[in-house]
Amino acid sequence: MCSVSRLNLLGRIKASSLLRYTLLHTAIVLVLCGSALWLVKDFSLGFYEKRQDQFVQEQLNSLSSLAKSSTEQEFRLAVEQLAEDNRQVLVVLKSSDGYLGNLNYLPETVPLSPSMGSFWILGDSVLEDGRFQRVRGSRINSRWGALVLAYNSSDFNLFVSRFTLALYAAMVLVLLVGLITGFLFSRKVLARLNTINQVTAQVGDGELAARVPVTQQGDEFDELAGHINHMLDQIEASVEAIASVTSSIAHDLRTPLSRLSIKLDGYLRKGSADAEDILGAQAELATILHTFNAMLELTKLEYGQGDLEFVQCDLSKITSEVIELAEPLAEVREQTLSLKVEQALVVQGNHQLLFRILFNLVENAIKYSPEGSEVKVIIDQSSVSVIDQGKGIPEAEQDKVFQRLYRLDQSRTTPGHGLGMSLVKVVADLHGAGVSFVRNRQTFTVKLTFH
Amino acid sequence: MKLLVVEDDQTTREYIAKGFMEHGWTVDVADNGRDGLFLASGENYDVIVLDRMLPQMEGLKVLAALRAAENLTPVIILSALDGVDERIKGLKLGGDDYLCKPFSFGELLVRAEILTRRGHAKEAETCLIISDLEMDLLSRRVIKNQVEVDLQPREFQLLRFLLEHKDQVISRTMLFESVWDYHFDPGSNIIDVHVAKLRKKLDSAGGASLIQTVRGAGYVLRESA
Repeated sequence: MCSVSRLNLLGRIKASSLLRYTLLHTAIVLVLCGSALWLVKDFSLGFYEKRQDQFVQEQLNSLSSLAKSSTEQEFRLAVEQLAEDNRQVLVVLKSSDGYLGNLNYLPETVPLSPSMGSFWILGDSVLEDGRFQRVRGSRINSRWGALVLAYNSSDFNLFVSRFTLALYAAMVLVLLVGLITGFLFSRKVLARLNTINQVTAQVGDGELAARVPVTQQGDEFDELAGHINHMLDQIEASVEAIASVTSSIAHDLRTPLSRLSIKLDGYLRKGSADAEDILGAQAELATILHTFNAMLELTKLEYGQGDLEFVQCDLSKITSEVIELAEPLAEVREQTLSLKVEQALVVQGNHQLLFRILFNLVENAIKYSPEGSEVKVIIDQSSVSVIDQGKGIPEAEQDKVFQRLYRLDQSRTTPGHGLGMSLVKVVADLHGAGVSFVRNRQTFTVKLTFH
Repeated sequence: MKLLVVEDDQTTREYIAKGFMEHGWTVDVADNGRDGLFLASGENYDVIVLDRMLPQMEGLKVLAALRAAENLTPVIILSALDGVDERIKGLKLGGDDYLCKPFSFGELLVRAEILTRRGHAKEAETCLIISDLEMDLLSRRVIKNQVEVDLQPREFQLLRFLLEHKDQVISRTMLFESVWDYHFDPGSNIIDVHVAKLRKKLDSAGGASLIQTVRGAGYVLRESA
């Protein structure tokens, strides 16, 4: 169990960059802390030790020069004086008549000056304390006998070991705090990352409706979540649009395609096809292609593919061209077609597209207005209105006419592919224009309002 | 007349080549953009029919390279890409005409013939005549069967285009593009209505009816046999 979980943890550390960064960061802090403390120790404690060593060497030097110039009596006096004055100093002279100083033997392992060495003595014999004491000193061999001078480094050593212990404790503490906070932070961050990961994986599996939850904090993760959600909204909308276009293409092309198939089947059974038959089939194909192209173009316009040229367009000029083109249609239906320009309207737009939608609107008005009626186009400072005397579009269906292939029940028998109003809407949107309907007792108005 | 067809679809390529050869043209073919550019730069063609989506080198790139080398051979761009912007893109790069797939052979032929005629110095014709129909371009008067026919400006343009291309079958799309200068498929019978109106005006002057409908193709102005 244990090894498994350790492996797991190792694996997780390897896999998660966040955990790795936390560990790396803790390690760096640890190294920095450690070096800083070692430096402090070295500078302060090392300095203290050096000063003590220096003191011992100075005393030994003066004693050795004293030994050369003085009598044995004088030298012994100086040694006794030194032992008296400095309680912390340990001095012993092995003279001809025994040991002199505050130690009753001469430690053998002490190195000769100027080397320094540490050694143990039983404190009872010299100092108040009954413990073994660690001392540090040096030895000279003078004319009047060997002499060892040392100082008690026990307290200092104790201090050093305490200090070192504290240092280790501090480092362990740094390590623990670093690891714990790092682990907690990364768990928190990881938890949020994991949510995002799960959602994106879900989306990857085709669940396009999945969204990343956004918290109230408004931090980078919320920003990321917001961006991801926005992206998903866009993708979902595009996918839906593609799906709807595809299905409506399939739906709307199926009817003429099967009609064509039936026709061809008929020729086959008849055993021959004359020019008339082939022309009929060709006309059928032309209709299919026309619908197909119109739908493709609508989609292209709607999703802003391609770059359209926008120039200054004089709508009264375009409309008069539209009227001129549509005039014979109205004549056939004995309608009067008129244009009234109350005020010139010039907009930034695509000439071809504006012409097309205005033609669509006028053509529709002619088609659905009764014979002998009146179709009027009025332009004012911000809009173009096409007014006819037809039944218009029932309020309940006014939103639906913009859908692709939507045709009012009453218009099913009139020729048309049901894309005209969709094009009007898409092109109006491209020009930042609105399409609205007004129904009066006698008239029906489609109004294009430019902002 | 010498034609280069650059088209990767074999059926379409052969359909075009065969059609033009039947009308007395010499035809070279290429099935990719690079070969097309090579041929177009080396030989002297009257017209080049250039598909847009080609292997090795895209049609528009071929066109751009040709024009950059100051080769001014008329180019008809063939494309399955329809739309206002696509068309403009092609013409901006120096294409002379833009034809969307599917197209009828007749339309391509007429367009090619128009382009070759454009290349030659045109005599300043001021009077167009066929049978008992006479159009004076200076005084803008039309006489049919010795009777003056009153035409609206657009009807005049329509008749003039048909007269300039007499004996050629002109499609509705071509009429709409050339006479109205709009490049979309109006989808309705609007062109038919305009032609019918023009024909009625001419016929009311008496004499043989000259504007004939070619089913599935368009209109032709010719003396009836």
